[in-house]
Amino acid sequence: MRLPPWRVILAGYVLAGIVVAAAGADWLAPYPFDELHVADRLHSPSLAYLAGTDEYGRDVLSRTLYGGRLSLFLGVAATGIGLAAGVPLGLLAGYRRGLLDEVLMRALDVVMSFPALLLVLLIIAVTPPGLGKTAVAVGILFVAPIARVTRSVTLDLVTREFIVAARARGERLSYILRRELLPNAWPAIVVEGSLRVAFAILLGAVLSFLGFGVQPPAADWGLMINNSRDFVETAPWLALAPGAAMSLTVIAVSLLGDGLREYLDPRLAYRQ
Amino acid sequence: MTLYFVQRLAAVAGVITLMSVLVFLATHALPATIAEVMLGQYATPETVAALETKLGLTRPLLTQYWEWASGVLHGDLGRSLVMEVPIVPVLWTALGRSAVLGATAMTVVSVLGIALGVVAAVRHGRVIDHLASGFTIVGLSVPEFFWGLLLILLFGSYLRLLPTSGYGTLDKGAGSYVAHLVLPVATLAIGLLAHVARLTRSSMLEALDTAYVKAARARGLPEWAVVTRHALRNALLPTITVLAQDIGFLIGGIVAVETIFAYPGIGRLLVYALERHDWPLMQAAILVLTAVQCLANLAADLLYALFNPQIRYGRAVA
Amino acid sequence: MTPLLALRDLTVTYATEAGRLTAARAVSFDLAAGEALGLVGESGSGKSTIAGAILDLLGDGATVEGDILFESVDLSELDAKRRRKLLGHRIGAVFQDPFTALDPAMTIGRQIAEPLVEHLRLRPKSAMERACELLADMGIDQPRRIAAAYPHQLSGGMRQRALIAAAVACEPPLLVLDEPTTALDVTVEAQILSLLAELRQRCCSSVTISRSCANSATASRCSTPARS
Repeated sequence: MRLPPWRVILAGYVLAGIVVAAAGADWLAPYPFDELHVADRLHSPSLAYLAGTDEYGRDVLSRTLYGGRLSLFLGVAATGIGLAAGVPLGLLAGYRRGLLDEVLMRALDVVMSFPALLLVLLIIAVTPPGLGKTAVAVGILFVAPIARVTRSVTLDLVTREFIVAARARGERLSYILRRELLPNAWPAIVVEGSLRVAFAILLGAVLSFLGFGVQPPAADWGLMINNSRDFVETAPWLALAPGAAMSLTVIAVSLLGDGLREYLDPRLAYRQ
Repeated sequence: MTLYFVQRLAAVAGVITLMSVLVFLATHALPATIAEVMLGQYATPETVAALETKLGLTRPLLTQYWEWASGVLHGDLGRSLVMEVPIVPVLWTALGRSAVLGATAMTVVSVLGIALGVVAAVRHGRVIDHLASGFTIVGLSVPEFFWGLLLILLFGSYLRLLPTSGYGTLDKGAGSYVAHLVLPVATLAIGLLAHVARLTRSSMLEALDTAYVKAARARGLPEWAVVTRHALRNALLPTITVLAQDIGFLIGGIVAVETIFAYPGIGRLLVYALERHDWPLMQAAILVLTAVQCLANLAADLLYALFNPQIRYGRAVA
Repeated sequence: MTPLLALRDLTVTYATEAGRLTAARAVSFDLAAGEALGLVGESGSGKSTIAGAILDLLGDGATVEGDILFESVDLSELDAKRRRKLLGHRIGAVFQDPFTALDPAMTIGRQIAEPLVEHLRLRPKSAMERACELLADMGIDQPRRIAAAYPHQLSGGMRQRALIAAAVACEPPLLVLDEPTTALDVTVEAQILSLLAELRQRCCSSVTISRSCANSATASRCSTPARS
């Protein structure tokens, strides 16, 4: 097995660092994320407050660290939901074909012709917002592309001898799906999954930015950047820390996904 | 070809209808929520019931939907609850402004993005290719609203070159109009540019690897002719299909960008409607945006069918 | 008489992850004007590489050593521009798979006309006329109709005829053919082989690469490159 390119290894380390920082926010953060230091409001970055303070006197660095938890959770949870529903659907449709496949493909086409943001906004806007709801809404959105990718891979695999042999042996459907197809389909699924995580983080950020995701006083990157708009001229550092953190996370996840794609299956490398 | 077109048109109609049902269900399936939310702190069981009756929310869902849907088919999208004006004129103006934003961004991006992709593919593996790839990853990963803020910081605050919000109406002069467009268009364009460039690059790489390109070179054609006349023409085909996906990306981007720059387009209108629970406006905006995306997909499909000889001229000749 | 084409100790190596790979080792042969040479060997014997070396299609990863003398000029020493001028004009190429070797988005006629415009500086209209004439020469019945068609609309045999037409368009003295009939049905193969034999009588010397001497049909000589 070839060693992955250095970009991917670097991205892996960066991402690991971010995950550790977010998970260990309780110990790493200098201050609790909602602690007010009213006397030091809108303080530019200094030794006491490495990334400055916001309009309530809260430490930006601490809030950025805690914000990582929300974004990462959203990314993983939404993708998890998408995978849990999308992979079985894709496997079944690709293997069985017939009516199920036709119906699924039509449904997927329809879902994928809606603008993603609108679909999620629709699900969220009519109920009180919150992190869990956002994760579920985005997860539902992801079922379509994940099912589609799983289905293509399955279509590819179905003609191979080991599947034909399993069928000839009279194996049950669930066995074939679980033990024969899935282990061979997982590279493509993992690649799609990692790209979905990146997308989920971005989507979650946009939602919080617009005010429909996580609500204050939670520390969420999108929310923090939204707050910073009022202080763009007076306190630009408010946006920089969360923005940089989010960009770094998404870049790392994307690079990892791209690298995985090239590494696991070079054939996929040229396709989107 | 015509059959294909008719089929696709029917599919578009189907999708829009489905979306209208979804939108309607989403807002009306819980009528209590609507009335409660509208009344806010004044919500008591009595006031909620009164408001529901007044708004006709207690009638059967099917009746309500039918009323709304037939209104839409006659060109009436209802009245905004908050602004208390008919929706159509407001929506139409906002759509026009967003269209200017989107079209400008798309044009800039198409030209630049394709050029960048071609250059990166032709100089595969060299410095410019790596730079382009790096730019692509960054462009795709950094959220639009952050780019917007950075641009505001740079051009608005530090350099004080460009206006950072609002809309320059034409009567204040073409200069003001254009100036107000620059930052929003630039912000929209960055993410799209990355996508188009990356896509073109990978299509071009595939095309440059084909046997017909080698055959063309073997006939002594100059490299520029091989790249443009043969490789690019074939590489653009897959790009067109995925550009259709970009319309969804664009619509999402427009919502964020218009919010940041306080640009009075349909994206900002939608956010406004969502915030204030103005559900007729919200339904109308979502419906219109869905229709726009569907039509854009259709246009992309048609363009693809037009430019792909295998679809356009199906029948065998000899 | 100086040979039309002469290869002297042609060696082609590739740098791969597994080390240097020799695709062709010290290949030498002469081709006089009017001769038809068949290069025969199994897959992997390096015969396609020889064609690739002559036609400059090997790509950056290949190192070419030795001489390729065409009309006494060493092709491997020429700069890209001058080499390009020879290709298509004085050296024609016919490839193995007629479907992938034709641009799917361009009409047949235009693809044949391209080298005419480029090398002989014909005007597009005259080039199209000439392309139709060439198609007729290849034994095609309705040349105008075929010229206006796209590759996917034609059968394998037709496509190969079109490719051959494009190769001989500028009346090159040398034709290089890389397994011209391998991808074709047996019946069609026979037709194409007789077409090629005709061409050989009329205009060109040729180097034909194929899997067996029979495929080279009417080749005046058959030779096997040394295995690498």
